[in-house]
Amino acid sequence: MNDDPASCVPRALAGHRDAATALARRAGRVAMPIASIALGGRDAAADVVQDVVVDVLRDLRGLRDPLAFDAWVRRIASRRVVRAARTERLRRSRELPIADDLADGGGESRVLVRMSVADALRRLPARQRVALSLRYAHDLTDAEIADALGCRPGTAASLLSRGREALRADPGLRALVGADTEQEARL
Amino acid sequence: MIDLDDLIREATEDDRAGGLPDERIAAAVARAGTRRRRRRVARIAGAAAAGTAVVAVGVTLSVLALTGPGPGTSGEGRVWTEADLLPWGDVYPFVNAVRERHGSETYELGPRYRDLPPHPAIRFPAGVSYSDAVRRMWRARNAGRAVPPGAEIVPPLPAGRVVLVADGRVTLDSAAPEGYDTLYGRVAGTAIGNAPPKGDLSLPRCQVLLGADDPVAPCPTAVRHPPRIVERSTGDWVDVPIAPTPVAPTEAELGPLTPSFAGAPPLPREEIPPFIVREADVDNTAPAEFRNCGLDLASVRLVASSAAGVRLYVADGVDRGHWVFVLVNGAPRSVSACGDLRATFLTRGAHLEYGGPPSHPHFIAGITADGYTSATVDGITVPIEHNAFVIDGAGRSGIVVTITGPAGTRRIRQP
Repeated sequence: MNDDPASCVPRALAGHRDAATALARRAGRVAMPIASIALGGRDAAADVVQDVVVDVLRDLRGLRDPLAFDAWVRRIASRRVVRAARTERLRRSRELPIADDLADGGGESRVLVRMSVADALRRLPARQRVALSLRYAHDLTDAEIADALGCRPGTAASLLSRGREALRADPGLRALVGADTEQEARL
Repeated sequence: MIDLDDLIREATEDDRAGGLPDERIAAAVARAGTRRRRRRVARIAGAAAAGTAVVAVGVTLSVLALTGPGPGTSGEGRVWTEADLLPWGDVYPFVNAVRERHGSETYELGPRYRDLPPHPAIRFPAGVSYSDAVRRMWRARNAGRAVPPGAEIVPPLPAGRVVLVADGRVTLDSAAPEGYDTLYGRVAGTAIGNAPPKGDLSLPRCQVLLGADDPVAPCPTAVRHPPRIVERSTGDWVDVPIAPTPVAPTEAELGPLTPSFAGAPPLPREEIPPFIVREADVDNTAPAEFRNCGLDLASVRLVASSAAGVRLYVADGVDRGHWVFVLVNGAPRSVSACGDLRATFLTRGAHLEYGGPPSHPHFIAGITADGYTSATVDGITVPIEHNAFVIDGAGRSGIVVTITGPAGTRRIRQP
């Protein structure tokens, strides 16, 4: 079914379940990459994204402009993911996808890269992690990331900058990226 | 040289593709729909209560104009009498239960504190402790009396507070003298038909006013383990020590015999059934394991069910060493367990829960270690999926459960 928020939001508010389901799918597609990158895997993210979708459907009446649906979902997802990233409850499930990949023999080098990136992201503060996730998940601008995080663009730029700096300094990623990048970072 | 952005984009390629699995979408839509309906009902009830309150205030003002203020008069001049007490019924002695339908089941639950209409408080004579006051109220209501002997109706307590201790006298919220659970906000109360509440009763600190000017922060819900206080025989209120969370075994220690609840991604979470909430979170009836395991009771995963309506849930624990198994049948009756069950899986292959008397269980539910595919009781064989099974109507021979699979065959006798 068409998931255009302009038509689905009024229908979902009128009680049409198919429209609500279409919006739920769309919200899931928006939120999943953010949560998955920030939390280190789709399985770890699934619970959080499910909660995001529930929030979205529950608070749909508060969405003033249906055309801003995706940005609104990103705001909800960012809040949820920051909260989840601050807890250790997801530690176990975060480690599962990598183990699964290894077991499947899905390319050792690729798994190594994934593992290193996930580990490096995991060491970042929650808001830096989510800011970077928003950038890499949806290629958002600083202003869009600021909107999602509910902060000023300068703050978002600062979070991104510090997050990238920390990633460059991460020993695991330095080994993959190479020393040149480190020198470049200093410039 | 590899660009950092390129490296991360490559590493997160899988993360960017796709959305939430269909089963989780369906679960989310169902959960959101349930909440929307509840809020609509609450709004309608709120509007009705507001309308009633307006009428009541009008009538009260008229009465006041004729009679002037009297006993039980609030600062605003309202007279509170027995007629203002909320009705109570045959389940809870302090306030009527509400009937809520969840899925195919209808449950009688304590109402949410925030949904209660305005109601007066009851003040007890000096020298009556909080716990004794609750017991006096409980006995009075069981005897069909609204107010215990020697107590009096007084204006309501401040919102959120159910106990006021001032000038050596205890004042209780007439509808929620045992407080309300801080996770879901439901009014707690020892049911009619049970024994009266025993011992020194504790309450969340923020639901008690120790003196009229007690500077306590607002009392939120959605808090799992709030600080609690209890009144000692000396009349002093002291903090209740918080039980330490048990040390969880490590992943390596658990080994391959641990249930993995076969499912990647894991089964979707559901809102915890309200009957379980009542069982689990009303403090005086909560099994100790619920309080001590640090479990996330906001939602559970349904891992098995039976034709007779027995449903086996698993709640997420603090670690893999701790689960809670919650079984619900239509009775209603629930059975639950929580703890480090490694030894059980190693020695018996499964953890079993029995509904009904031990010699004639009307259902048996089990969580098995990995490697078992079917369970047999009394000639009935059911598959084991997600490491779980439920068997209805097991007779006397149901005391022996046989589980089989690649891991071997185990005959488990009821202990």
